[in-house]
Amino acid sequence: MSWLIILLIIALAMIGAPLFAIFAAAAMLLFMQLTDTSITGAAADIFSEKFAESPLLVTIPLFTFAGYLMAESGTPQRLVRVSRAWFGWLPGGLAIVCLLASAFFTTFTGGSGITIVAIGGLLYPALIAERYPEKFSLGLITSGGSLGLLFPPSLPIVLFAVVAGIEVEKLFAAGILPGIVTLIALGSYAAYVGVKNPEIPRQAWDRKEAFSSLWEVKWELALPIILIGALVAGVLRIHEAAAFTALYVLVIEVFIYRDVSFRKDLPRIVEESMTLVGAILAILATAIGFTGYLIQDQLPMKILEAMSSFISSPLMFLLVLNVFLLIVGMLMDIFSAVVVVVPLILPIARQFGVDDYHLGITFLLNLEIGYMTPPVGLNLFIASFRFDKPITTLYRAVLPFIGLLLVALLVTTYVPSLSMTLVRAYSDDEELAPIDDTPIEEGAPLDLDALDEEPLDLDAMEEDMDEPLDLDALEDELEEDPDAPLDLDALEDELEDEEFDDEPLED
Amino acid sequence: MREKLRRFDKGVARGEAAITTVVLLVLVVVAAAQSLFRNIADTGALWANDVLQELDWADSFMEKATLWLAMFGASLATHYHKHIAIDVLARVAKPKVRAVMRGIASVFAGVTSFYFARVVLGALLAKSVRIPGEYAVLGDDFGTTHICEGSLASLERADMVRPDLFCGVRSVFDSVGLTINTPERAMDLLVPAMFCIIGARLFAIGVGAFMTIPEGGIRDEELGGTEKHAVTDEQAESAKAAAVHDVEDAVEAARAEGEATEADEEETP
Repeated sequence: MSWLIILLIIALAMIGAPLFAIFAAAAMLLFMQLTDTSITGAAADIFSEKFAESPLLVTIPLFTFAGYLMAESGTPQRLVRVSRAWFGWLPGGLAIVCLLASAFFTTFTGGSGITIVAIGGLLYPALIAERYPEKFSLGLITSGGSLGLLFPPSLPIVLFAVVAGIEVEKLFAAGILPGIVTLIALGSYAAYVGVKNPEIPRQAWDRKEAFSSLWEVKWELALPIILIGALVAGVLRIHEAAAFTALYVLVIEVFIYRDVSFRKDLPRIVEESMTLVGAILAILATAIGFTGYLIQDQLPMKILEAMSSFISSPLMFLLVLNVFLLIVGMLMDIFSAVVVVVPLILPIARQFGVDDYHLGITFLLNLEIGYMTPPVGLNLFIASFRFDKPITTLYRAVLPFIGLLLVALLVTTYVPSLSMTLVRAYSDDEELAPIDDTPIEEGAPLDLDALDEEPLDLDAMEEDMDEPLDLDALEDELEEDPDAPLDLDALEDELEDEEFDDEPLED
Repeated sequence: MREKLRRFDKGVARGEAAITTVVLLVLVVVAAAQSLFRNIADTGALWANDVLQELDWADSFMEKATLWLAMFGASLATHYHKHIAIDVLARVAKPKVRAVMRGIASVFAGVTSFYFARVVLGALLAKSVRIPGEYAVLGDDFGTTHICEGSLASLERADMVRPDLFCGVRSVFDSVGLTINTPERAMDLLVPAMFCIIGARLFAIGVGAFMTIPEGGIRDEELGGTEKHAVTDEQAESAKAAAVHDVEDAVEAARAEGEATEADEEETP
C-alpha cells in the first residue's frame, strides 16, 4: 500500500506537480495509515517554532527583498566597475572580477540564478571581447551563479539554520573560511588561464579610476562591513540585521542612487521577491508534516542502522553524505533540499559526532556544486537560456570548475576546523567544546537507542557540568526582554501544546 | 467565460500584490524601528525604553506579517506559475503530452491544497480551544469565560476592557462555526484561506491545460512557470536594464516577459 502511494507521488513530482503539493499529499496520505496519530498534530507544527513562530523566519522575506532590490538597481554595474578597477590588472583580471562580483551578489540574492543574469549578462560579452576562451567564460559565469552562497547573509544559510534549529550567526561565521577557499580555488584557475593565454589584454592600474569607482559604490560596499561588524559586536540580532539590510538597501537605491522608482519599480520588485519567498515557504510549511512523519517512522535511525555496518568514522559518513548530496543537488533546488534532507540527516550526523555547523557548511557547499552539475543542475539551464548556447556545451564548460569546487568540498569536509575556527571565535571559546578531529574508533558500537529519545548526549552534559554556568548567555537572555520579566506567552504556548498532545484528536 | 475568469484571477493577484507591498514595507519599518529603539534603550536612555514598551506588539506583528507574506507570496507564485517543481520532463515533452502532464499535476495539486487547507484549519481550531489568560475573565457563574462573552460585571471584577474590534471579528467567525480566542489565531486563519485560493487557482490551471489539447497543447514559449522560468523572467528584465542597446536582449526580454509586459504597458503607455 505505502509503496504504491510513494510511487504515485514520485510520478506526480516527475510530471511537474509543485513540490509543496507533493509534500502535503505525501504527509496526509502517510499519516492516514497511522492509527495512533493524526495529521492534525503535525499540521499544528506549522504554527509552532518550527515555522510560523520561528524567530528567524522573518529574515527570509527581508533578505530576499534586499537582494531583489539590488538586482534591479545599478548595483551590478557599480560592482563590476569597482572590481575591474581594483583587480583588472591581475592576470585573468576580468575573470577574477567576475568571480568577486558574482560572489558578492549571490550573497544577497541567495543563488537563485539571478547572479548569472545580472553579473554574467554584463560580463560575458566583455570576457569574449577580451578574448577569454568561450568555454571558460561560460563555465566561469555559470559557476559564479552559486558562488558566494557560503557568505553571510545568504538565504540558504538562514534556511538551514531555521530548519536545523541552530544559531544562524554561528553558521554565518562557519561559512566564511570555506567560502574564501572556494574563491581562491576558482580565482587561481582564472589567473592561470590569464597567464596561459597571452592574447588576453591586461588592464593598466589606474589610481584615479580605482578611487572614483570605489567612491561610487561606497554605499553598497559599506553594507556587508556594517552587517558583519554589527553581528560580531552583538549590536544587531539576526532579525534586526535583516530589517536593517532591507531598510538600508531601500533607502540607498530609492533615495541616494535613485535607481529604483518608489512608485513604478518598487511594487513589482516586492511582488517578484515575495513570489520567491512564498514558493520557498510553502514548501517549508508543507514539508514539516512530511519530515515529521519520516522522523516518527524512525527513518533516520533505520538509515543509521543500515549505514553503521560499513561506516565507522565521521569522515566516512561525510564522504558518503557528499555523494548523496551531490545527487540531491542535481535533482532538487537548494531550498527544497535543505527543507527535506536536513531533518533526516541532522540526527544521524550528530550520532557520528559531526558538528552541526560543520555539517551545515559541507551540506551547503555540496548543493552549491549540485546547482551546476550535469545533467539537470539548475544554473546550467539558466546559462544555456541566457547565452543561447546548447546545454551540452555548458556541460563541458563547467567541468573544470566542478573539479575545483569538489577539491574545495573535500578540504572543507576533511578539515572541520576550517568551518569551526570562526564559530569558536564567535562564541568566545566558552560555549563550544573543543573541536574533535579524532574519528570514532573502529568498531565502536554506535549507540542506536540514543536516537530514539532525541540525543541524550552524556558527553556534552558532562562537559556542561565541568563548565561554570554560562552567565553571558543568561545575561543575553535577560537583555532580550528587559521589560518582560517572565515570558508568559511562551509558557502558555507550552502549556497549550502539552495539553494538546495528550488529547486524541478527531479529524 | 474563460476570459472573465482570467481577468478575475488577475484582479485577485493585483489585490494580493498590493497587500503584500504594504505589509512588507510596514514590516521593514517596524522591524527597523524596534531594533533602533532597542539599541538606544540598551545605552540606558529611558525614553527609548518607553517607546519600546509602546512597541510591544511588534514581535507578534513581525511573526504574523511574515506568515502573511509567505501565504500571499505562495498564492502569487501559483498565479505566475512560479512554484518550485521538477520540470525536466515537461521541458522535453511534446506540447500535447505537456498539456496532459500539467493538467494532471495541477488538478492533483489543487485538490491536495484544498485538503491541506482543511487539515490546517483543523489544527488551528484544535490549538485555539483553550482561552489564554489575558483573554479570560471569571464569569458570573464562576467559570472561565472569554473576555468577549463575559458580562460587564465580570469585566469590572477583572479590571479589564473589552477589545471591541477583536470581539466584532470574533463574533463574525463564531457565526460560521470558527471559535477563535485570540487575535493571533485570527491572523493564522489566513493560512487555510490562502491554501483554498491556491487550490482553486491550481485547479483552474489544470483544467485550462486540458482545454489546450484540442488547440495543440502547451507550446514551448507558453511553458512559463516553475523555477527555471521564474528566473528567466527576471533574467529578461535584468538583461533589459543591463543592456538597453542590445537589440537581441530586448527581443528576448519582450518574449520572456509576456504577461508582465502587458501589465506594464497598461500603466506606462
